[in-house]
Amino acid sequence: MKLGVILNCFTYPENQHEYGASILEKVCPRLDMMGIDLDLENITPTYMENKLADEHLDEIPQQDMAKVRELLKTHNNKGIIVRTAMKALISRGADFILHVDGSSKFGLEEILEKIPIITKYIIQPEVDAVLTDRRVSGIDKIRTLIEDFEKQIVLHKFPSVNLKDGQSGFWCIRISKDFSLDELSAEGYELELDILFMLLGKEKRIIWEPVNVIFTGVSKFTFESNLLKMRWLKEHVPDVDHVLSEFIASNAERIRECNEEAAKDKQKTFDEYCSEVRNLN
Amino acid sequence: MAQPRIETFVCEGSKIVGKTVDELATEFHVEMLEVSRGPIATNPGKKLRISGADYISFQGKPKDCARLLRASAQK
Repeated sequence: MKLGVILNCFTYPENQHEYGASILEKVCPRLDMMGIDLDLENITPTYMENKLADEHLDEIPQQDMAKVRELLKTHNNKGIIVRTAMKALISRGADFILHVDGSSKFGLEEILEKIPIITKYIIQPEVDAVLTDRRVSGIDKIRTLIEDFEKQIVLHKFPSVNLKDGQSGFWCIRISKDFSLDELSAEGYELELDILFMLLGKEKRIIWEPVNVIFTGVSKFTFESNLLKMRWLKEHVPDVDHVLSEFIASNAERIRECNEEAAKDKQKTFDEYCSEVRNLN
Repeated sequence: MAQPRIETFVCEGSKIVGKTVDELATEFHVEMLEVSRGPIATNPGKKLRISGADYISFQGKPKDCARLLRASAQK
């Protein structure tokens, strides 16, 4: 069996190689004992430049290439990049794909400890995905608040689901016979939601593994990224505005604190975010 | 021990910049599979030079692959 690993420390290439080398030295022997081969895609700044070269064009997701090139100029391109890496790994026979997000949100020791645990779960035939459960988003207060709102939207679509997290960038999925990359459409940071919707829609069995996140406050995630993610959610879930109204009513104190903090830092407030969300078509 | 396969970017100015794929294979005891934009197998005998900001894929023992991965970042 083969585990395809996507190490996505795009922002920190100097960490990326050390993380990859440590995984090879410390995790490979443990995977080997489980009868697992490793195939590592190390996503770094020139990754897509090379994939866009003629020999790799068939690895790019089936989308308009001009649009793909345009998206790659922006920061909101995680979905395109990771789906490209997934396609490459699947073409080389990956039975499972494990993705580790960058920006040093997950410490190296945590990654080295969790990969064998996650692998032990995913090789069980009855398990389709292992998603990690973070205590905080690892970014900032407003992003944490927005993620809680987005979680309510997921629960609105799938009310009977025991949803622990769903947006952590440390995940592992089985590439089963009924899995098709064409079912995924994420272009940006909505990738984890896209995968979650696919899993929940097919009633796949998900194991939740707790994971520690380092709060760095550093991210490429912008206010615009939040809105692009919400645009995707609105396309996939009806009544988002209604969910928003309920969320505001039940989180008044948190929202007030968040707004005050954002205003003090001259950042966009949650109120401004809500206004933009309501204006999205 | 299974032999992992690695695809990675070579950092600009890393210590392996300027070496040929044959030299890399010999020094790091790995099988070089691809350099930048083409499989090595389709270019037999061609001395491809890694010029920085390029892409390589290789396969070998985990410790050897780890050494090459670190070297592709070290300056």
